[in-house]
Amino acid sequence: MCALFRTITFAVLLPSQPEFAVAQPASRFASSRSGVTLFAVLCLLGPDAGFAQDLSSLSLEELLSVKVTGVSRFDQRSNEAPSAVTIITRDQIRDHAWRSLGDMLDSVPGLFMTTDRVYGYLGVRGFLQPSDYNSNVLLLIDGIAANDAIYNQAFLGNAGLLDTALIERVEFIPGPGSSVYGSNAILGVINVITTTGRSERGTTAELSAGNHGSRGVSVRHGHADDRQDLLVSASAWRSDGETVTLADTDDARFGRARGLDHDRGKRFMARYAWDEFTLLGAYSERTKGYATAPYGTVFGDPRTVARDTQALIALTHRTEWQPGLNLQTRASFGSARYKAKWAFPLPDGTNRDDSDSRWWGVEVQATDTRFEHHTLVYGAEYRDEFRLRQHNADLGPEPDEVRLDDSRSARHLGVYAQDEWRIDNWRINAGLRIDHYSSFGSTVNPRLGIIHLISPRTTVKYLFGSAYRAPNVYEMHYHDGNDTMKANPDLDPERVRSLELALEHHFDSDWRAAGSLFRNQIRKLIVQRLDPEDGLLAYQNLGRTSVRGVTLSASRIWSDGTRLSFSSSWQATHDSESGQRLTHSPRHVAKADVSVPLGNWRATLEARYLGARTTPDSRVSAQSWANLALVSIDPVAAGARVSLRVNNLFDRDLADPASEEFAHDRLPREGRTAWVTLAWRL
Amino acid sequence: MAVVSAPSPARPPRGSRKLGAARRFLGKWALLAWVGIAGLAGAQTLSDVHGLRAAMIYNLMLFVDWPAESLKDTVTLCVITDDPDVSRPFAELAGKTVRSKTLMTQRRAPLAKIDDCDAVFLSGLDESLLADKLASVAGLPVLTLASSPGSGAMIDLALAGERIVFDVSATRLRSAGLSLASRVMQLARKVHH
Repeated sequence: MCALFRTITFAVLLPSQPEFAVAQPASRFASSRSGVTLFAVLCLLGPDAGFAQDLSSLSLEELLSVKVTGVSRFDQRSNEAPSAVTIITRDQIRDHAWRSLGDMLDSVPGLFMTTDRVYGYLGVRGFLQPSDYNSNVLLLIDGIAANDAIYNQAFLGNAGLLDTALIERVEFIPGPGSSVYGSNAILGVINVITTTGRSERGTTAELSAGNHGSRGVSVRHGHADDRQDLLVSASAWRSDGETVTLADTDDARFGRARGLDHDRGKRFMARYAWDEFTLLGAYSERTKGYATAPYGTVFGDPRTVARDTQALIALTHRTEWQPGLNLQTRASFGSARYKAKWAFPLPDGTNRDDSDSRWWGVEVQATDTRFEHHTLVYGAEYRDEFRLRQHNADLGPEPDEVRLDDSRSARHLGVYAQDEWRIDNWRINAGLRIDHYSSFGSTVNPRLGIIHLISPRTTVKYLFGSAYRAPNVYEMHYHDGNDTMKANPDLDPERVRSLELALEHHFDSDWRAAGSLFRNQIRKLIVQRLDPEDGLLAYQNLGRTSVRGVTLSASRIWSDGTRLSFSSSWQATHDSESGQRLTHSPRHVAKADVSVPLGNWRATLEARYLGARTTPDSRVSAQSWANLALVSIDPVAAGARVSLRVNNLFDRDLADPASEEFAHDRLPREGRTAWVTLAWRL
Repeated sequence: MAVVSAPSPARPPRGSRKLGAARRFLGKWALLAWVGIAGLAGAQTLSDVHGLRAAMIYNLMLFVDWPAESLKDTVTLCVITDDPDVSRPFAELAGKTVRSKTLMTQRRAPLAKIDDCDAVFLSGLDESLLADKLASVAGLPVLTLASSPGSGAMIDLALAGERIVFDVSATRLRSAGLSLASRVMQLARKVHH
């Protein structure tokens, strides 16, 4: 079949007449019958990886006559990836005027973002565990794991570590990623790649303003020459916040919360690259008011606020150690702090809930292309979470009553290997990772992807993988003095097994469609339950959930720059514990984006549909909304480039089902929110 | 972050019999789609652009004359790229012979120095980095090749329609003290004098 396949292929590809006349045939220059020679050589060629060696023995003239196929406007490298990857580019980020990572992910097929008005939560293929702080997805910033060490939280909303202007590309890799990345890569991996000083060259200053008293300022500077690249950025923003109406309760204590939904933050980032080294540093701080009275706090009390602070520093070295063997070595340090003040109806004062985590790690990764037809990736990483502190105390005029003061440390070692084996137009991608945790022991996770590049236009992928999420320190050791919550240090990792069949097709260079059938089975789901023996809440490995569904997407790029994309996903969920449908899960998610160039402007309209979702006690019906972005290409006013983004354009009443942390069944989303930014190149 | 709820049931399932049937249907559908698409689309194949380009660069180097004093025992071809797919075929060229010397190929990071190379192929670099890299070897006997027309390199390999073609800047070759065999010049799409 292979021989026949090659015969047909190259018969089609070869020119019937050589198109290059040879002036002075020399030893290296073949005769005009080179087509025949080439045909013979090509027929004898092995798989693609052996191509170069054999090709190099051909003459220049012969090489010039070989046809190349499959050139596309889309980034086609994702074709061979062992996953149905979605890539978001810098152009898209600029054109949509996205303000957070959550905004971007909300455009990805099969994903949906929800909010409790403090953090953004990502639902992946119908699965969203309320208030799991996105611990089921792994967030990587330039390849560095950025989930914090206590809650394993991936910050996707305003608490995110990076300004969107600093992001070059975002890749969402759905499915289990533990065979390469380790913990948290249960539902997918979000890979954020930062931009360079070169693409920012010079200084840019931005001023922003929006409704609900929103304003922001940012400055960034890029410098680059042939050996180095520097990018520095600083920004600050604040918003007084919307007046939030919590009307869906009979409780008379609730109503309108004015001036409590405030939000403010600042971020710093620096990235310096020299030769084979890259140093990255990022810091963010974000303070949020609560208009929603969580955990039974007093409604309308402005003292309830929470602050998240994160820092990340990493030094990476990349080199080709020997031909075909690339080595990446990295040392990193991270810190995440959480400080919340809760206004409980206490006689003397408030309650304070703090956590502080710090870790350092080293990793080495080799990409080995020395073996024909194989790309091997292997590596090891070690992480020392040397400070993991959780603290809870009632504050007051009396000495503080400490309910929880838990300090500990944890270590973790992981080794992994992955091979991509190229056989003709097949790619076999197999990987295995072994992790050892000081807290609970070892775990092994395999992955297998079989990718069939049926043609340069069509790819079919059959994917199997398993992944895990290590129970985090919060789930294992948090308690409030055994008042309502107790610790459970015996938790096991949560596990997922996933099967997927994905298909990608390029109708022509501008038209792409993809579809995916998947099944995720999550076992030992870590859930919080009431222990009937003592009436205390604790995390337990209880649930078992299966999600199966289908995602379809299509996108088109026209030569004038118009872009259109559409996606729709349906999923059926089943919770084995209850034998019923999973809560917080929509059956149907659909989205459509259109982006049109209009002279010096580009207008982008996003339409979103989210199916009905349930909570244990109520239901949030299906909702749809639209967002608009309008950005100028060149400066228009006072020498500034202008960008405008309006979320919830038609001011629809939108809501998300609330978690048990809140007294309400549903929390309203923001109404129409507009944000204008003026950017000057200095 | 104190209390976290768990997913729990909401509404009774709508008949597991239906779900089972749907699953069987989906299974069949998937297999059918795969087979169908494989059959329909099977008349084409991938062509290895990177391998082809690497082979062309090797071929071009066979016809370059470096100043006698500039070459050591080996000829070093540096591939400046972030993309292992681009550099992979070059690793397989190492050990071949160029101007009766052994060819060494090295992949280097985009920000690495290149003035100790005899030839450099710059691929996938930002326009301004490409300009900076080329400026850093201006006047040196370093053959520069790039994969974007008008890049400012001595030889540019470009995709024209479905073929790889090359443009030559005789001026830049000359100012670096290099020369390219005239019969190769005749195969070039364009020669800038």
